[in-house]
Amino acid sequence: MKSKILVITLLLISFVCVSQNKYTINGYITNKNSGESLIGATVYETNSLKGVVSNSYGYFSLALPQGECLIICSYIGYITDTIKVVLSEKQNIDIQLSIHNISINEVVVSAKDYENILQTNEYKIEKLTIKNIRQLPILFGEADLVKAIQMQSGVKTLGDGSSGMFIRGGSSDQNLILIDEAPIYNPSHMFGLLSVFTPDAINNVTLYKSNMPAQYGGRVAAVVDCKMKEGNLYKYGFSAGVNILSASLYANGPIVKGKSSFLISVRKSMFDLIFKPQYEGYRIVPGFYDINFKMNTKVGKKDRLFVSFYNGQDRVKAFDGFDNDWSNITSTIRWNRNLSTKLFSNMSFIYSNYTNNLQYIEGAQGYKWQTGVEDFNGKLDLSYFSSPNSTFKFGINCVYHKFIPGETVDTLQSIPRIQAYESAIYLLNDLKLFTWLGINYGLRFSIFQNTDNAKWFDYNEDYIPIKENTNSDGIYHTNYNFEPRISINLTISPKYSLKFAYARNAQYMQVLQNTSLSYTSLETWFPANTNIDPIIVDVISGGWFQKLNTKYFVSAELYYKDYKNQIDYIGHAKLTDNQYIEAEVRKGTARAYGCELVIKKQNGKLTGSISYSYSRAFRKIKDINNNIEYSSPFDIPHDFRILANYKITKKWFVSSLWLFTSGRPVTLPIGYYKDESESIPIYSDRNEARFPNYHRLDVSVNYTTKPEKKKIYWDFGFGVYNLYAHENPIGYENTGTTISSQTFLDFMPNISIKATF
Amino acid sequence: MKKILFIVINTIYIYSCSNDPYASLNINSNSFDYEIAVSGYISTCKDYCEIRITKPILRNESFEFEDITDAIVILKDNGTTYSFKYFKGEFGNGKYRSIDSIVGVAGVVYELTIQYDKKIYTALEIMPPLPSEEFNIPLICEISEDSFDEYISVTTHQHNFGYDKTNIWVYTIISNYNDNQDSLDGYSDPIIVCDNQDFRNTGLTFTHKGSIPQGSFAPSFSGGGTGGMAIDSISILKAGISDEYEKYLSDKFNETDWQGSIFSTIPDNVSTNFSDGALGYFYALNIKEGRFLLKDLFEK
Repeated sequence: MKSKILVITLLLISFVCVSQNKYTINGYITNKNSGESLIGATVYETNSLKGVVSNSYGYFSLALPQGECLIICSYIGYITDTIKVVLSEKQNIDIQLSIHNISINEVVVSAKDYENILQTNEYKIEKLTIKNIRQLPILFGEADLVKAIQMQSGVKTLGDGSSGMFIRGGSSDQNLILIDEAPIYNPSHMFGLLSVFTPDAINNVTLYKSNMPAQYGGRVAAVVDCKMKEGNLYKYGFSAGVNILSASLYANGPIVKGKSSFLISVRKSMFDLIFKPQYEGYRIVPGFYDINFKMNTKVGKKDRLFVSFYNGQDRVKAFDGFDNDWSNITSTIRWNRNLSTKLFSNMSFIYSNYTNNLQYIEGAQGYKWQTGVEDFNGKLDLSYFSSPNSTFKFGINCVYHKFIPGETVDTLQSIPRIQAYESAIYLLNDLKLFTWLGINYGLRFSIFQNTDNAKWFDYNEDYIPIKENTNSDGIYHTNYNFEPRISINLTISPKYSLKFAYARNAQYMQVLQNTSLSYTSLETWFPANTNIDPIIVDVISGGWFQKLNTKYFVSAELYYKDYKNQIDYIGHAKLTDNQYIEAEVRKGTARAYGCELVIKKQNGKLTGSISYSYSRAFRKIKDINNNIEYSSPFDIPHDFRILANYKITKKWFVSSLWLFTSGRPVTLPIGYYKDESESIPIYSDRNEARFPNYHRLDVSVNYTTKPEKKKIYWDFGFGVYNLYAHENPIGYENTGTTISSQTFLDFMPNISIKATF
Repeated sequence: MKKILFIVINTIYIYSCSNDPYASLNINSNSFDYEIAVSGYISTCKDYCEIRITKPILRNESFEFEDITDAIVILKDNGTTYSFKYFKGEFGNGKYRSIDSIVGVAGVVYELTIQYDKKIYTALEIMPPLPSEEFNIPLICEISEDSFDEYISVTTHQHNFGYDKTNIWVYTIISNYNDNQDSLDGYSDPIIVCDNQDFRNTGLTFTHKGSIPQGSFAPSFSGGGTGGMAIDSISILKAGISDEYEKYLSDKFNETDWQGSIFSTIPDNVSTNFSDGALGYFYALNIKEGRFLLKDLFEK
């Protein structure tokens, strides 16, 4: 009852703000040189100090009192623009910002970044531009978005080469990874060495850790919202690069100058072009490619159309007939429309298809296994800018999923296909109640319906299948959840704010994967159904954020997460080729908590950050570990990082990262016994052992010939991953009598060359 | 500030010189309290029942599984008690052998009791029924040649045994010599199936249940040669086993052959039918044999 009264009160306050007599200024904020939208740019009026931030499409709407006013528009790395306006009616103003000369060297960032963190009502988000990402020490000479996210405080990895992101105690499948709104189900290339995000094609990425706003859903840990570049509206640009792992080509430019543009990016691994798998030589040869394409066009003053496409594929072949390929295909059609000066709409149709095929030919027999998930997604998002202090967002989303949980040559062992609708409606309000108090609150209602042709089993208490059920048409099982989200921002002073947040998140699909392995591509996306319930997570967070001066920013955060219906696998669970796969899974509870301390310096020749986090994650699952709570595979308590970038001259730039984390939990043998001719391992409790502490130092030196006016410039990069060659095991192999460590990347120098014209 | 940075970087560098990931692996062995491991079986055609008892070892101990020689071993069925006596084997592997011969009977529950170091461990196993299926395992037979010899290889096709069958069985393939008087060189050493000890030692034992994808990989057998022993026939030995033993085999396979591969399962202890912390399995095999002349197989 109390919560209802609170919601009604907040809504009334919001509409009071709407009812005042004001005129609206709206428009897009774009890069003056390229015409691309600037997301998160600040627009505010100097007298009233009312301001807004441009949305994901660069759109803003600001209602101001009648009369003369001075509008200031700023964005990190761009020259602030001041516009004088006499308001007597609503006005459409498109603002173009020029890149700041100093920021050409990608080091100096405006202190506005800190202010945005302090002022936004959304709980802690990390925004990374491709420029930020390129500043970080890189692996194999390739800047990588996922590796950049992995360097953020609170984000854990499972070791060298892993592209998994384990955010605040969550597993990697609990992250919603989007590229232009389309979900990516497997973001890794080459066993996790790289991610599928081609740096040339990426504009920026926003990371929400735990407390995501109500427009996001379907995952319980985090959101990685990646936006592709749009392509230059005014001039053509090309670049070509090569490093020890891949070669890439990039082109963009206008289709109709000032109105429509395109972008195309292609990246291909080199290794598989040169080598073939053979017994004497490279026994395993991996390869991959990526294709990104995007075009957009303005249709009149109010409409804008975007088409994005991504296709990436990996293939790993071995000399003995092993052949594994996995691919992501996504396509997004978006239509932006200003329905009025205050109402902005985005309608999207999204297609996503992830497939994973494995073949193994040995002797006279063969093995095939296929898994995947295909999505058809339609969504409508509306933003209503009711006043400078209040913005409503609401929308609806419906996805039709087609799951292939695992098919093999033996149809009896194949896991039956599953279809489902995943729908959601949401409403949120971003409200500035006072200059010192802001609130972002919302509610998401999600529903997941298993439908169409299906076969499933009922199990007894011993998980023995006792009945086979079938469905030929229509919905046969439904799960739904209300997901309230709220974050409160107390701006104690312009330099200092406190934030609190609560969210409930529901997740209806998850990956069944053997997390004890250092690498496996055998991951099966499996939906909630009659036997597996959706994961529900309640998370509370609190943080203190302070701008010490124009250079330094500090933050300290606490969080606690409570999981319901967390699953884990029984010992020797068979996660492939098992139509009774649900009998291998048990559900229970989990909890995660931690604190994160960060100090950042983003101005001057020396920039970087120092961060420390302490975090724990535990599970308590029926029939596992004798029903006693145990560490989750991502329970990595200590995490300490130092990131330092130093601009020597305008052309020379060095960066380094030192990383130290506790070892991750693992189940390892404590002894062996003899059974006839074999020695068999004896284990203690689940995840009781730990890997050694992980640490490494990466450095890179970058040189650019980037001039002010020349047509072609070159970027050279040289770096070393794990400079002091510390052996960080990625796994352990039972050799029969003991266990031997497996390492992956010890002292890995890399070099890259890129030409841009 | 620069001094602090210098100290931090040097501290990091010095710390990183301790470069032994194995030494710092954090494993708690305090919970290791296993005293004995047992392996052995009773079958429907074997005269004497043999049991081996060894001591489990801690990780990092020397790889020697010490025989336990002073245990008291007793097997009981419907009212009959069989005593066992320890003897030293030819290759140093000591075993407990039943003093009297035993022929297993389907449906009978066998209780093995081991008394050792003031503790008593027991295992119960029921003799399963005979496999009901015929010998319909498809085989590929071919004469191959390497640089030294010509040999005959026999490989089973990919074989879908079905998942829901309750009558679980395992099979193996062994070679026989001189079945056929028109053999390649007439080597004379026929194997009598029910006397052989090879069922558990061939490394070619497969179960039809729960073995995909493992079961997809061809069990192959090869032997013989023009310069050495010739194979005249092969025997397929099918043995009915209990559900519990099938799980043990599957667990064992996952923890040995399949461990470390991309098909690895979640690590866990292999199941046992022993009480009180003993490891291993005492199992029962109901065996039948199908013998096939190679010349007939080649003609097919």
